[in-house]
Parts: sequence; C-alpha cells; structure tokens
Amino acid sequence: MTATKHASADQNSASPASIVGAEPSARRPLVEPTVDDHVEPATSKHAANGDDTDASNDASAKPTHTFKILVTGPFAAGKTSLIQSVSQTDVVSTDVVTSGEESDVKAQTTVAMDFGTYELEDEGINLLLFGTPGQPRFRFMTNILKGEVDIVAFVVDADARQTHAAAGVELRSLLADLRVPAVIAVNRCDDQDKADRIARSLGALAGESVVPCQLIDSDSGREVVVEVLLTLLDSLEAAKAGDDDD
Amino acid sequence: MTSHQGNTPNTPSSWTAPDSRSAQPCAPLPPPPPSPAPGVAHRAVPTTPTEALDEMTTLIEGARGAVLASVDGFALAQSESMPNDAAHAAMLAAASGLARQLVEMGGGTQLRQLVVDHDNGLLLLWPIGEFRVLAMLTDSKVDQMGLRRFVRARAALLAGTS
Repeated sequence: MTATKHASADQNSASPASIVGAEPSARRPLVEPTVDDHVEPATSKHAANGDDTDASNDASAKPTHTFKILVTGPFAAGKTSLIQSVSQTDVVSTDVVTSGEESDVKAQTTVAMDFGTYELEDEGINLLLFGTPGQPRFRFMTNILKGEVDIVAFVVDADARQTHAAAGVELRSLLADLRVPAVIAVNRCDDQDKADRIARSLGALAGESVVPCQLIDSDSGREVVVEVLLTLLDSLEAAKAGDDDD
Repeated sequence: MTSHQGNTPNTPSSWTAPDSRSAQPCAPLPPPPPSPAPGVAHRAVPTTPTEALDEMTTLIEGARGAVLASVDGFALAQSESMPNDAAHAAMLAAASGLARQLVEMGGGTQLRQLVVDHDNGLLLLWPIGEFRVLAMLTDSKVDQMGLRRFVRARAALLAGTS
C-alpha cells in the first residue's frame, strides 16, 4: 500500500519548485481560491514520479508528487468518514461489526486501516490518506502507518468531550515523535471559535490549523483536505526558507 | 502473510456453525474430532471455548496455543498456554481485516484461512462465523488437515452458537 512512495523513492532529487509548477506563469490554483498565493514549496520527502528536467519544459509532463497523510484521532471521531468523503478511489476499508460497549456508540469500526487517495491532476499532486483505528488497543497500527508521513490530520468529535483528554495526549505525543505539521479537524462543529477552543484544550499549538467540519458532508471533508494541503505547502515553504538562510 | 483459499475437498466455505448468525453459507455437519491421545482418553467434551482451545492445544501435536477473538479486537478465550495479552486479539482482528481486503484483491469473496509462516512455526487464523476469529500457534510441521478438522468440529462452540 506504500508502493507509490517506494516506487519513486529513488527520484527524490526532483526540483522542489516543480511541485506546483515549474514556472509561475504555468501554475494554476492548487485549490480554489487561496493556494494561488503560495510560493513553490521547498521540498517533499516523497517522490516526484517523472523527470523534472522535462517537466520544466513541458507542463503536460508535470511530475506527480505524492504526500502521505496520516488521518488519526479517537474512536468514532470521523476518520473513516473523512477518507470516504474525499477519496477519489475506492476506499480500502477494514470496518467490522462492533461489540460490547463500543456497539452503543456505532455499529462498525476500523480494525486495521482505511486508505484513500485524492489527486490534483493539474498540479501533479497525489495525496495518500492512511486512516488509523481509534481505539488504544489498535495503537500498533498507528505505529505501523505513521512512518514517513508528511502531515497529520487529527480528527476529534466536538461532542465527545470524554475523548478529548486522551486525544490531547495522543496528539502531542504523535507530533513530538513525527515532527510534521498537523491539521486539527473538529468534527460535528460549525463554529471556528469553538473548534479553536477544543483544539487548544487538546494542546494544539497556536500555529496549528484548526478546521470545524461536518464529516458526513463530503464538501466539508474536502475543506479539511484543502487545509491539509495549505498547511503542507506552508510547511514546505518554511523549510525552503530555512534552507536558504543556511 | 498469505491468505489461503483452501483446497481441501471436504472443507466448507466457512466454519460457520449451521445455526450461526453468519450470513455465510452453512457448513455441512462437521466430522468428529480426531481420537484423543491415549493419555487423555477420558477427557470430557469441552463445553466452553476456553476448554475447546485447551483441548486443541493438548490433543494436536505441535499446537502450542490458541486465541479466540472478536473481529473488532477483543479477546474472548485463550488456551492456558497463551499469555494474557490484550494486544493479541487486536492484532488478530487487524490481520483478519486486512486479509479480507487481500482476498478481494485476489478476486475472492471469502477469507478461509490466513497463514503466517515464520522462523519459529506457524500462526494459523480462521474466521469463526461472521464475528469471531481463531488463531493457533503451532510448530511448522503440525498436521494442518487434522487441525482444521478439529476446529471445524468445534466451530459451533467457538462461534458461541452451541
């Protein structure tokens, strides 16, 4: 399931500028409308599937850059819904029937992973979304899936306050380990201020993006993905600036 | 990890007991378990999943331990020889969940068996009805046919339907 990344791992020498287009005039908005203002990001850990030299001369041969997104968070927060709402390919789902107390919360749960994709063909960007199970007993799956992620989409249910304390510990621990940017998606929430408060209660840092969302709605799911992309590009841009300073 | 579709002529499409809640096809009446070893000739017929797992690990040469788990990762029973580790059930559920997806990748519709062949033996996993999975840890040279017959014979008990 990580074949895309591995298959292209030997091409990491891709020009960072080619991620969203080699020439400014050739660039199109990554996502309407705000990404247009972004400068080309610095680099991607993940590969470009193509020859960047050719790509700089031929926009039609634009390389594909693949980013790995870890979608995680507590049980029944909306992780699977997010992936199902945005994936452009059939979602690989490992949902099974719940039992015990968890069956009072929902009928099915993810036991291994969810996998979906989201491609911005014009921009040559391919997002791989890896969703984790939410229960602590499946933590080993998070440890498997978190390798080489580019960004974390941390989903939390605004109404499930009993999950927030543990979610905060998990969020900080994960980010301290991975050292990648994060977007906090506050599900069942329409209010930015409320979402911000919940995110801060989880220990989210001031610079971390917070998105209120309703993940039963695919448009809302796409807004989360847009924020993930923006955050990712900001991060790459900052990394490039840091490299330039050096 | 390999998913085996099973090619034993008498192997039913699943080990779901006839009166199970499973939507899968009903299995034919299972054959009786193999004759017990001389030393355990008078062993009582198991009445609980735990007893059935202990029976299997006792009677099947090369069987080291067994765990029965729900498909969502809760331990339901285990043989005495297994350590009490909640992570085992979760790992079995995750492996089973992924294996079912791999079955689809192979064009199949039903997981029958999952075999993890490692340097210290085998881990064999079977769906038990729709809601449970059974894993057995064995030596590499265990009689897998005999083991499967044995499990089939106890399927209803393990599925919680007997």
